[in-house]
Amino acid sequence: MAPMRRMRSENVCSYWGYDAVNDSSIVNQKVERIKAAIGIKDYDRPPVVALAEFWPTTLIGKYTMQEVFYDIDKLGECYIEAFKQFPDWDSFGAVLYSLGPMLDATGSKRYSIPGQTISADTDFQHPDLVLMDNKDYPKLIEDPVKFQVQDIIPKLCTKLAAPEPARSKALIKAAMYYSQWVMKQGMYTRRWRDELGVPALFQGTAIYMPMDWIADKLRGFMNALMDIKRIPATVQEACEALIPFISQVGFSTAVVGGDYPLLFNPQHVSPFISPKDYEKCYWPSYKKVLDGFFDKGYRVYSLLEGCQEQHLEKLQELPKGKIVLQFEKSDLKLVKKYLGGRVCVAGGMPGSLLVKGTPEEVKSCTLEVLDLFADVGGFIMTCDMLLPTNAKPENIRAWLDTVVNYR
Amino acid sequence: MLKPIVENLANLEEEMTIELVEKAFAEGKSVQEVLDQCKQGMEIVGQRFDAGEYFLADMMLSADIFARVTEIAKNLLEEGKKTEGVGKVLLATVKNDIHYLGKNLVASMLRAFNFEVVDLGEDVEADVICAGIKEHRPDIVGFSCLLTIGFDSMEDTIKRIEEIGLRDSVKIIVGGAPVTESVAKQVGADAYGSDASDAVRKCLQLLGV
Repeated sequence: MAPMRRMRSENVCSYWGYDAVNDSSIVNQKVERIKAAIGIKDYDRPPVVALAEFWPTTLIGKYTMQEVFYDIDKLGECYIEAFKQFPDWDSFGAVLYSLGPMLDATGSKRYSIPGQTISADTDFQHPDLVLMDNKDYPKLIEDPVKFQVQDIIPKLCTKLAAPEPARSKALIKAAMYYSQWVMKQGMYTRRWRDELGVPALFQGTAIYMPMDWIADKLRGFMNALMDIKRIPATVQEACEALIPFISQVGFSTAVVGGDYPLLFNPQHVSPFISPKDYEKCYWPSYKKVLDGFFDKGYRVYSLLEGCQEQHLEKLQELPKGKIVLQFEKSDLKLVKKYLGGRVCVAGGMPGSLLVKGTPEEVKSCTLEVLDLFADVGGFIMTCDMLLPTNAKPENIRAWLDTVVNYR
Repeated sequence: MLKPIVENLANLEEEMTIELVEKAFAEGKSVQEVLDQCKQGMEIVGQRFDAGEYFLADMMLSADIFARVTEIAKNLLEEGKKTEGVGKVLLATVKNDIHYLGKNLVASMLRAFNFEVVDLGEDVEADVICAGIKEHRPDIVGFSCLLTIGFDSMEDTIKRIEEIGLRDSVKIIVGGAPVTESVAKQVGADAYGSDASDAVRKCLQLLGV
């Protein structure tokens, strides 16, 4: 059944009461399973999902990382082949991150690109860029959009700092690549769902919470952590000022009308700060951004990187049934104690085990985690990190088979 | 009762610590005495990190404060009177991985605990690491990675070190977000550092300190 289409600005709350199980298609069963997990409702078994960018490139072995980084159709083809081999995912957060042409058009330094600064066979990576001085906080606080357009983008994208008409040409070229990219991501997402039975996990772009935005996009990671320690009040003010911008990024890219309006939010800063610093510099703006999305009927999937056991008590304040929290290194037994049955918990499969373990070890780990959450529900089994490009196929098979047959 | 420098560094009071250190030097206290107090402060920071009271941002601030103190102290030391280090550690993020945050933090913490650190950078080839071992003769070699593709690079590098006959001359420690104790064993390392504080502890253990 084709997904219902709605206007972007419309409140999407009705999706959560929308009864999609009016036929017995596998996709609808999967979708219902995911919705039940998010809403902490009864399901036949926990869904199994994964998040990935370039995972199938190595699995299929037809192209280099450089080739797929520059050609979205090659990456899309790898995903099609991968989903033919592994159709049992209940949902998949696949981003076709073939941004090479767009990055080249703007002269962006945002990523280390395969075949340029790193080997052609290596996944793209995020260098820690420092684009903003600590003296610039007042400008950021006064007008975050103006500051980023005038001060940050020219530093990040060399071709957008060029004199006219070169600048406009670069901008037009990048916009063309971008619109093509958005169109193709949508096309492949529909094919994976309708032809291969793997629905998309997320809508729109990844949303960075204000403190993560400051660390990842502006100040550089280490500087941002030191700012939290040295100038917390200023950082807090900057986070507050960024809320409308961050919310707008989410609203404008999340195309309403998929199976469930779930937005992806990776968090990098929170594992490295104390509850006291979290309370001051992270939580207030995180909560306000979340509330804005919840009010419009969206749900949010926060990937809490690293170990975040120190924040579990605070996270109990999140509303029931509106958020998924994926954990990487936090102890899931502890997570269950604080959050089990209150918010949907995701995680449980260590990426290192998929790479270095055996199918027997993977099966045993899967059963242990599924048993742990059997009595509270609200659990999504997933890899604790992006699905590693070098995960062993036999381990993925063992993982999926174990979850699918779990009752 | 803790001495003021120890207490202020342990409490991450940056400006007060620097002020006290400058005052101590002005009053004629020896470099060794002041640095010893700072190390005591750093040890308390490490204990609070282990106890879950401090987190990485706190550790980084403490390492920054310590670096400021050593910078002041360096200017007071006469040439040839450098303090003796605990040992020498060669660090690198392995081939195909450009991430440096964890490695740099380990470097800062090791320096704060009086190790001499040689940092070869990121995305470092096995042969460059082998050449680094020959040139710098470290006691310990530390590898970091943020990506699972780094596991193979770590394993290949350790094999290469074995092939050229240098494996017995160094201890090898590995760490990084996806690395586990089990991965460390599989790639052939001697130790695994689960975080910066643990890495320092393991390095001290490897040297029998």
